[in-house]
Amino acid sequence: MLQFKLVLLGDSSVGKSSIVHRFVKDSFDEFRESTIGAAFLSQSIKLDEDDTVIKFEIWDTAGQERYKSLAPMYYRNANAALVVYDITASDSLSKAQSWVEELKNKVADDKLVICLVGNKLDLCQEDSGKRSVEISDAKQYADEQGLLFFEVSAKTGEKVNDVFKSIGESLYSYKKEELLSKSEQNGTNTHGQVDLQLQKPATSDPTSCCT
Amino acid sequence: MITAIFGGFNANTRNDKEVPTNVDMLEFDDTDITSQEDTTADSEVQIGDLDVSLNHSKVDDEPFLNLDDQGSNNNNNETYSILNMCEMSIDDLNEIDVINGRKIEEPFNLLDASKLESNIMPASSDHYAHSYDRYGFRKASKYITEEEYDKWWSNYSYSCSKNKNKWERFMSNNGLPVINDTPKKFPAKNDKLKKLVRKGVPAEWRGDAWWAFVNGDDLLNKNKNLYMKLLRVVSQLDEFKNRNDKNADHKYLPELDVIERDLNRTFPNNLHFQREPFQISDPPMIKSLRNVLVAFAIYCPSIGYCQSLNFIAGLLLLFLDEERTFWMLVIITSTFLPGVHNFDLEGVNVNQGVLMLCVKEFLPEIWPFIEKNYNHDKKKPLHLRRTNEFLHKLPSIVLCTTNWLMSCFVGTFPIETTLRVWDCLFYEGSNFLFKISMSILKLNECHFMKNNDNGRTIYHFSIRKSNVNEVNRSNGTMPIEEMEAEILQSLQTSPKKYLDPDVLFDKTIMKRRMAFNKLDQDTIDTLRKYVTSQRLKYKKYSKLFGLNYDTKQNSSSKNDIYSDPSVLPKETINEMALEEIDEFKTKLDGDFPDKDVKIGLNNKQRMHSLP
Repeated sequence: MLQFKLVLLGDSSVGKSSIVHRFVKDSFDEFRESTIGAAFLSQSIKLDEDDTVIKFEIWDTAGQERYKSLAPMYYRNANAALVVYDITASDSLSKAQSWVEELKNKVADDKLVICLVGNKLDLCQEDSGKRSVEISDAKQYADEQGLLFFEVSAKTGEKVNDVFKSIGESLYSYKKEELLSKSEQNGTNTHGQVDLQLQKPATSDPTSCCT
Repeated sequence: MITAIFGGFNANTRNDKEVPTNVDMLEFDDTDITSQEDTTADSEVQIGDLDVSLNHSKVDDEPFLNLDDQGSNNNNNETYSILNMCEMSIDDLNEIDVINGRKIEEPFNLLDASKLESNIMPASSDHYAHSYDRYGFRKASKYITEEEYDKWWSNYSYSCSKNKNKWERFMSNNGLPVINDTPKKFPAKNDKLKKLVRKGVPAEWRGDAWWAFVNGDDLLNKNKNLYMKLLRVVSQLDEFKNRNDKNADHKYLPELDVIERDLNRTFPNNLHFQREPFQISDPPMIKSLRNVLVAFAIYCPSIGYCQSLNFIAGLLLLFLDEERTFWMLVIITSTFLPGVHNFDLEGVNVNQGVLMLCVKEFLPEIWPFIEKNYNHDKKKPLHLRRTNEFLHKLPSIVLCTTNWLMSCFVGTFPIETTLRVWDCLFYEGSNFLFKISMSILKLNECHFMKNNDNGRTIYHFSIRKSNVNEVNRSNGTMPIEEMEAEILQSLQTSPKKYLDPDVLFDKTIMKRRMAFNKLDQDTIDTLRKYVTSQRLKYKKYSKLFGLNYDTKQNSSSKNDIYSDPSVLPKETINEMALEEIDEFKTKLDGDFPDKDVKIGLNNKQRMHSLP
């Protein structure tokens, strides 16, 4: 089993906690309490490739602007970041973009996997007039920045699992690369402290989900 | 009847007005305003000089609270220090009102939370009303079933009523009247009262008791009508909003949107905060919450609105009217948690630093698990090993402990436990927040100790370096990150199971041998000053050497000046500068008495804290 730390970032009430709860508990509440500071959850998934089990340690953070000053604490040593915006609120995309920028500037690990996620897809399916961020714009930005990209609905669950699966696959491929290059170097390791530690014995039940 | 379901809890003891029978009557009309002003006049209970913030017990020869001169003495020019922070003066507020020349709704007295129950709950709700507790919170949670709750409650409610008898006897022994189940005055602080508070203030008295403990009337009397004036501004903002005048919104209050988004995300599981499908407008509780939060944001621009204040204000509103809730919020953010909710949240870091110092001192058995790799780096010169570097780069445990303090444990525990903590917090001062934090850590001690047979895991806990992992693997102990995750997880979830406040208190707060019960408010105040200055110095020192404080703090352990100055890139800093850093750091440590932080305990006392 491989274990990775994932952090959720994004403006307030874009649905960060709802996405996590859909992923971890497969449930949705119309009104979810605002997250103060951060909340910790974990969930495992199985990748098609090699039957690899990936365990995510998820840090769900508070979205209000001022909590940005605490964010470094949460994304320290993160392997992946889910940057969420609300597709019915264009402001939230620019907030997401500033998060991406911050991550790129401040996280030393160049293998950090960043996934841009537009949430509340269900609202636009009900009424296309509600959309205020075009999928093409967001996609273009994600491509330019080399991010994974999805539009999801935490409410219906659409594509939520795909997000985590695709993050897992990216992390796994980095991991394989790294192990390969390591064996080529005959075990000499100078960098990659963050990544090396990920190789762990499978001590936990992969299907377990912590609450 | 629905009211019966809510047990003995009835905040509506002050007003004997008829309970409205339909939703329309909830609209505020002139009659309401008049009667409410009467209520305000009635409630001018003079409480004397209860010094909550310093935890000085008052001399016993002053059993009653004097009608302190402070209350009547102020003139209108005298403003509370926080008011000075407010960009808008009272005159400004008046002016706005005059310009508009319109009648503005007076604040709605939500002291009568229970009065509203019949309106909030639909007629058909009887069948599920038993699922809610006496405050309107859903009994069941992810961690507690309704059956568990009911079973516990049947015992607990009995002890509550016994406890209330004790309170009543105590009040009457002190010659203090309790009219209509409403205490008019509370005695000055004394041991007996402290003991009673620790056993819990009767739910019906809570609002009045908290208000008395924090000396709320002093502040209110100094600022009469200020809240009303703020409300006028609030309703103006509403008007701008209705006109879709976005610029006006931003001019006055950039965070109005955040407040709005959080209103329905405050206690969505509480009946008073829920909007039923047939309700067109927001429930009164949501309206009050909006009023208080917006008024506060206007009044205190250095804070504005900070997520977590919604929960604090929301819980206060279940026990106090809007105006007193507002002032309580002012007191909490200035006296109990100074700086914590400010824009930069630096107060959060300061308080977490204080907590870490407390843990280091009072829970030495847990400290090694929490601490980062500062003290045991053998490469480090000896004089650098005893530093308090963790004050600048806080240990990962603060990921969990941060929201405890920010929200004053709202949401951390089941509600009865949170309320008990609040009783003591307002009576004893903010040191109680640290005691409770340490109580949780202590109760989770076993999770720290798990999988540790040889002590090495303690030693290397939370070091994210490859060589350490290899050490662990060879020892067959649990990998560090997994252990860390497990601890963080249990710190987050286990408090949500502390249904019975007595159990938590009996295990920790009431135990003399718990060293942290020696912690007093003076120590907390001193530590806050110390941590603040240390963090400031470190920031300056980082700048001095041309390091971007934030960037460095955020990066991973590579070239981490915080753990080891010797790994700084050579081109950034030469050997001479390195020496200077060492010297500077030593100096920093020297700033506090006895090199290492001492909290006034001798070794013998420390021994008692060991299990």
